[in-house]
Amino acid sequence: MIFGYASGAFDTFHIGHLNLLRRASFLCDYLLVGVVTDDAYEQMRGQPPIVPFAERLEIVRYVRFVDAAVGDPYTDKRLTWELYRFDVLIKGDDWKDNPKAEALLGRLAEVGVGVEFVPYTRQTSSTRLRHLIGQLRNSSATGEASEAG
Amino acid sequence: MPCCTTVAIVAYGGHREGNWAVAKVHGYTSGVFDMFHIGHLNVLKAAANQCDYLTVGVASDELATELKGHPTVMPLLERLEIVQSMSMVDNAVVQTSLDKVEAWRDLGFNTVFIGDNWQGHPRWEETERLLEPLGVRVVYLPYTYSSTSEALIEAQLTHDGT
Repeated sequence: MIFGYASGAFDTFHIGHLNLLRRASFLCDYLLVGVVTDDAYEQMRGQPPIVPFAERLEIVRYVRFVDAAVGDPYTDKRLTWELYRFDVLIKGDDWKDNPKAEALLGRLAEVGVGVEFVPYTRQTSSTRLRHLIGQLRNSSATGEASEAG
Repeated sequence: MPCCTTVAIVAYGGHREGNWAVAKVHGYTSGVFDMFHIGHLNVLKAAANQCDYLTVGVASDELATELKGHPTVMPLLERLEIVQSMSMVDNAVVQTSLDKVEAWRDLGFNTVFIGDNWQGHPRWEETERLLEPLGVRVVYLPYTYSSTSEALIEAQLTHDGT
């Protein structure tokens, strides 16, 4: 049985996140998803995420492709591996350019853990979402808030 | 419903809730689901806990713009796909109007879930009146005021972009 692991911030859940999780589920028999903790996020990005950890985790937990979801406080995925002992690490292919990638791949290969890359969804990202929202706000008047009833 | 039908449904493993005899609960709830957040998840969880099969209507871009007075951030296909991907959702469909009778004709649900912020609203009192002869009951779920898409949008705009 192939035990896969994918991690992310999943800040403001969007189609890019969903695509990653869907593709990850096809690369393993059991998918564990790590949701980056608020502290780890701040360490990596320099500011806290928009959506608090508990909410980000809860949403990911209920995505049908996810078998289990946990918090991931480690920036070094080798440490996450020490904890969970997954067989394969699944990452978006935008991460290949990351200078730390090669070193991590090596350290994981040492313990027989492979890495699989899934295509990074270019049209949506949390950064792009913020940009889109800004544009929408500037160009149209906001109406009275009401959920569809 | 005639009382002999009620007895038959209950005898075959259904249950009674006041005047309603329900065999399998096919629930329906609808929304815009723009920028999917914990409030949306809570509604879907609460609805799914009270039904055997959950259909979720996702407002079309046109309907959403009409209701909110501005376009959605995420297009229909993405909103639909995200809702469909939640494990408690059995079926996600496009909703083009607020007409619940029309939705019932297409989908055949027997229970409609809506937030209790709508309870007492004339439109929903009318909806209840129209659905009752069709054997459809309306269930009001606790509405979480703290999380809304508007709050999320505000948070997005004040977040320093990276």
